[in-house]
Amino acid sequence: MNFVKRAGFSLWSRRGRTLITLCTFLVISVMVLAGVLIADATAQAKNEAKRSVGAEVNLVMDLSGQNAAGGLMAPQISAGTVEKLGASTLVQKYNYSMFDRGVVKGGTELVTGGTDTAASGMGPNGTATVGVLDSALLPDFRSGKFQLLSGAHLTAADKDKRLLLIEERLAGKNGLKTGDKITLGANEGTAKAEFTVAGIYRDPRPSSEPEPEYFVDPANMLYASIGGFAGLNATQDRSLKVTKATFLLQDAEDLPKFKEEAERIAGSELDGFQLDANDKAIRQMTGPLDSIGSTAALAMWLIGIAGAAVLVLLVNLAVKQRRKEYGVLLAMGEKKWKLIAQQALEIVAVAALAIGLSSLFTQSLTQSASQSLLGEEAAAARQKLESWQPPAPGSTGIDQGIDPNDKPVENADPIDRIDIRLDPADLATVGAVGLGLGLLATAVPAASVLRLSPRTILTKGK
Amino acid sequence: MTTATDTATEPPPVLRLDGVSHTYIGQRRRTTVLKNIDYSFRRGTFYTVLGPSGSGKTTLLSLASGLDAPTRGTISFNGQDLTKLGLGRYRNKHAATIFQHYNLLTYMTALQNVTTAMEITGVKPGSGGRRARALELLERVGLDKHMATRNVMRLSGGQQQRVAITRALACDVDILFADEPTGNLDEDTAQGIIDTFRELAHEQDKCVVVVTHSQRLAAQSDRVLTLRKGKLTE
Repeated sequence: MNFVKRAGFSLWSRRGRTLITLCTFLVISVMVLAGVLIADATAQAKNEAKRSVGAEVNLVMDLSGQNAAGGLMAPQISAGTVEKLGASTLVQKYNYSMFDRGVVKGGTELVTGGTDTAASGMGPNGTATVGVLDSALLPDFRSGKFQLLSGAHLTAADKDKRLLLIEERLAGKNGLKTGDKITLGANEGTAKAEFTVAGIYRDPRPSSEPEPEYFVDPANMLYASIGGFAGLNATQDRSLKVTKATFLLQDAEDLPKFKEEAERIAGSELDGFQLDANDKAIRQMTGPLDSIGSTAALAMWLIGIAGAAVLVLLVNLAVKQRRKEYGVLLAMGEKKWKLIAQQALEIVAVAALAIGLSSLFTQSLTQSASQSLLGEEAAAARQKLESWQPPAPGSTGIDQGIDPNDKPVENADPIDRIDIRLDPADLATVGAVGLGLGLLATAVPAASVLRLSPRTILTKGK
Repeated sequence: MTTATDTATEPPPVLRLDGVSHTYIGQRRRTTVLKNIDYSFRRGTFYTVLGPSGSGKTTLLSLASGLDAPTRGTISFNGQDLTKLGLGRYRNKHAATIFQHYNLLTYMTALQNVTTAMEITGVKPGSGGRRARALELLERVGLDKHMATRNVMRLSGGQQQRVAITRALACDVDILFADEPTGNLDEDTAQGIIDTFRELAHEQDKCVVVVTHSQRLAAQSDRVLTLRKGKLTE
């Protein structure tokens, strides 16, 4: 193993060159390691974002399609088809809903808290009523924005009952409590029915701020068991039609597969709908991550490649400068593989030291650099979201150049922090890159020298 | 015609050149420097090879020491063709070369140069170890421990020459080749080296082949060979 000893002598004796090689390797290691760490951390943060948003697919009206068609008629899909989709093995839970005007009767009074009810077009005593299969799965209840104060949620078991969830202000104004009755009239005609208050919930929005989708006072929003409510407005077509559906998948990774399955099962019934896999919320949350991820990757590749080129040149030059040494050692009968092993060992020793050094400070360096970059990106993204203004009540906003698709998703703040963690796999990746570079840089020029006879090596150039 | 010197009273040849020719192929022409050489080198003999510059002395030394292969003919060690024995193995176990330009490992001390050669050629450490043996050999050529532990680049040309000689002597080989080994040495040191070569040949039964311009060195050798126009004569 005398080549190991020679490698030690060589590294120590050529301290200047060793130091330059070490610095070059250190730069490459730090850049590659930082890139790997940021890539890992952003991937981790994206997964967490997906988890927090949920593996949720929403079947909603395709606004762009409707616009193109020149109208805004809400498309409908049969509840039976939605139930078929919900029966998929990919789906954990599902929910669907429809909307119609409900007219409160029998002495019940709506809350009048400053919202211009005329803009909603609901008319006197009319309010937005959402028929829902499972109220606990509504996004506002899932996110915790709405809080059930008393009673119980509407469930699939209650589908054909006549149950209601009412807001606490409406309940307070009318002295209603769980189990009390409210008479609701149909949107058209004279049909009416008694609904039982199954639960009372709290919506934190003030009465002065209209509910953005239906433009009614949030205090007056009613949630009804879907079958019972749909029966009130039943037409000749008795089959239940819904306008929205939500599917919570077993795994976020199944989103593309579920979309394919939904398109296969529902076919043309999906016309006018889009399957929104919460992409927008995820994009909103992870936009800054993508930005710093791509910046970090670009910097990693640029500096990494430049460093690697310098390293390859350095090693190449060193090998060529050492041709005489090779000639002398070969003249003594040293084996060629030992010469290459010596050179490779020198590079590997320097690379290992550089990677070891880089592992000491790259984590904290990357954390602070990425935090600084991410903080700026997240602040810019947040500012953009906050500056979005909803269209005036009664307007779609399209004529004012406001794209409804740009509306920020609630509870999906841009991610402004990632946790950089160094694990052995990251070091192994960088080690493999360093080792590969070093060995490649050694083997090619060494092979070109060692194919010659010792005499040619020793006399060439003299 | 070159002269073969086998006789019944002489020891058997350790190294034999049969019809050895060597041609350098340049970009425009081919130059044949050695022409059909037949010669046998024997154990216990100190040879010098004389000849004008460019006569092919260094080429002959390179081929005989296994640093390169001839373009024609065969060279055999103890009756075995070097190409079959392996040039690397031959250089490692049986032949050592002292180069005109020293060719020391510049990142090592004098001592490390010698011990490295001993390690590569597999010289047994002995009772005192390789280091002690190397120091003893360096002392014999006038390099004390202080000099021995200095980087070779900090030694004078003559001192480097002595390190190169010691390195070759330290390898326990059958044949020692040297290319102008005393060119940079003062008279006393040069004489000491010549005495060492004679001792290696006569007392340790080695074959010593020295390429030189020095008539003084040639006069002290057992056999003087002359290389002229690619032909080797005695």
